[in-house]
Amino acid sequence: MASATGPTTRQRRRLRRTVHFGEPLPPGAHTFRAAWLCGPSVLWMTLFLLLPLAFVITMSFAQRGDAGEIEWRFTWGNYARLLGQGALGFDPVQPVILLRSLLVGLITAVFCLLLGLPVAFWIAGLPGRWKGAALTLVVIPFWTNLLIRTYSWQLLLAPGGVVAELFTAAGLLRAGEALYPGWPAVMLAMVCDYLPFMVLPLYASVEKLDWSLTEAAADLGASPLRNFWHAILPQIRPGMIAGSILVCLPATGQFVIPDLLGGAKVALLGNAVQQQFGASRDWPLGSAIAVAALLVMILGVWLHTRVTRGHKEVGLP
Amino acid sequence: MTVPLQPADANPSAPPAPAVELQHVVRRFGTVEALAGVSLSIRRGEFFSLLGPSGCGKTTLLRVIAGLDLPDSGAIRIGGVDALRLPAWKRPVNTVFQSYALFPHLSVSENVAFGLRMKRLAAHDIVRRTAAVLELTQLTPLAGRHPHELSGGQRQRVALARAIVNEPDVLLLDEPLGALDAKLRKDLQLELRQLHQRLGTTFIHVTHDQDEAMAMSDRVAIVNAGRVVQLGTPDELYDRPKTRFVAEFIGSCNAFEGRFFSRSGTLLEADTPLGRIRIELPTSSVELAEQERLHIGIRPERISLEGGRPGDNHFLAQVESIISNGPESHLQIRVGQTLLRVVELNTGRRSVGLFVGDSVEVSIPPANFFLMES
Repeated sequence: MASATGPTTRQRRRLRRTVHFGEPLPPGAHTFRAAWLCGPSVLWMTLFLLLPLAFVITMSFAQRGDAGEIEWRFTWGNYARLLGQGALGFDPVQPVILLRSLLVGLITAVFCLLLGLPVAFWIAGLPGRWKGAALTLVVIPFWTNLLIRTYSWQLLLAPGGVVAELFTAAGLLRAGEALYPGWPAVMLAMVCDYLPFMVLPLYASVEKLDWSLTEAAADLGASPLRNFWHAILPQIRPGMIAGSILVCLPATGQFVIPDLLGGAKVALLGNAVQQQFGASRDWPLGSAIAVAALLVMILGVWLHTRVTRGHKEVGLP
Repeated sequence: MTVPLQPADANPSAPPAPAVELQHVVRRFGTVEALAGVSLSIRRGEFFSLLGPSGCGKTTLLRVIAGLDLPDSGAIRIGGVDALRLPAWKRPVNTVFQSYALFPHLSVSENVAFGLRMKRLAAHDIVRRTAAVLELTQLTPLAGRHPHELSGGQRQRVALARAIVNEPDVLLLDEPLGALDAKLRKDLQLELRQLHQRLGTTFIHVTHDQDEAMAMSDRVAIVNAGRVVQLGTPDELYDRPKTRFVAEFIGSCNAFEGRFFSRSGTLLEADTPLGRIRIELPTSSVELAEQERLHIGIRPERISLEGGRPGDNHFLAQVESIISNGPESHLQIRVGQTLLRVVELNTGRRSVGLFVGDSVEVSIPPANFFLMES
């Protein structure tokens, strides 16, 4: 109860105990509060992300001893091997893995984009209560472990599996042959696995679409196709970029799917790293591959933002 | 050029087809009839306003003409051509949207050039025509800005420029001044009117603001509940409103009932709560039965508190209230049991010195009354 004499002692004490936001605080208090609120997560990230990363970067400049131990002598050798320097001249194994991974990431993103756009528009067009149900359906695959889903693909694609049988019946596959291991199986599983990462940000963009702009474009003579290109795409571009990055980056480093469905021929970055840290016992080279992958992805994101930010129509001020 | 689609132009002796012709256009949303059979003929080059309260269907009518909405039944012809066969993007009309609907990712000049780019004009034509329209709408200094960097009035100009740069046969304006403050509206009303005279394009303008419609239009259609209630020049609508809805929607009106008593030519006598009054009709063609119920209206400013002339109706009234807003005085006076609103210009002669409770002599010329349907 407010009285002419102001808050009572008890009220004042309660006010002090309550966390207030937006109240005036002296500068020092702000810093203090920020420190103890953010401190734990900063500490966590430092201990378990930044320090290991620094360790990996350092190790990528070390050398492998004859027994697979780490020798802390500085060398560019690991990166040279990544770029194709072998004992007998040019050795394409590592560069090919790097390029192949990037390509797989990009193709996965493109497929997910093409498949995800209609889904996002369809969900956004549903009546309110069905939207939630549809979005749940999109997310349901995450309720099952990736390994289990990938093994399931093996069963489906194996000789006698449902999908293989269908292909055989359609005359696309000889009886008794399997659809895996191989590229088609890898891409199929990749797109299935990453589609939700594309659909969710796309849906968020489509949901916010200002449809009056499509009316304006139509009114100004834009055919349906050009309308989509000029009035809708610019609006959902942020969702497309976010979705593509969310799909492309993890897909580039994926190692379970190529391992289980691709066989030895389709090693990707993730498999290469696993190989070096595991069987080959060459941790410095594995570290170099990991750092290279990181750099390539940072470069990709940076290029993308540069390209989209500089977007400008030509010929007009 | 492609096949000549306009039969009216093919034969120069025939009168040109109306800019827009609507025949019994119906549009339902669920059970609500937004348009309940609208028929209209809008002439070439005229400034035509659709005026009505919000929700009356006037915006739906505009969208149906633009092709952004399809009627459930009826026919629409634009320049004599069946428009229902054309999707929105092929119709020779452009719209200034109420929300402006500017493309946020494009600059002012890119917004204005949009329609020309869709027409795939040569680049130098696009640049030239865009520059000319930017100049006309005084947007040249803002050409490089984006919509979020503009004020409301500037956005409105961009929306207008983006539409007129295409030189449409018909320009549709959906409450173009609705989101602006009063002072800016007045300025832009004048500018729109001047622009219309300069371009000679047919303008169809939707508004709920009767002052705006009256000030700008050649003709006005009053729309209510999905129907055109009355169509005419602003003066016709003001002087001879057909219904009480129109009379009260445009300006203010004293309405009362009376019974027909006698008639000679255009002059008729009626028994009303004010007593027996004489009403001068604009034509003698009106058919009236003995003792027929009449709905009579009189505008507040057409009731005179000064002497009047011999042929006028004269009453003795009591002043019930006076409110002055400076240029004019709003009075309520009582004649018998009937309260009448009166507006008098404060010319400094009469109203001064008039007080509540005073008796005044009121005169109303017979031609100032009008008859309304139901």
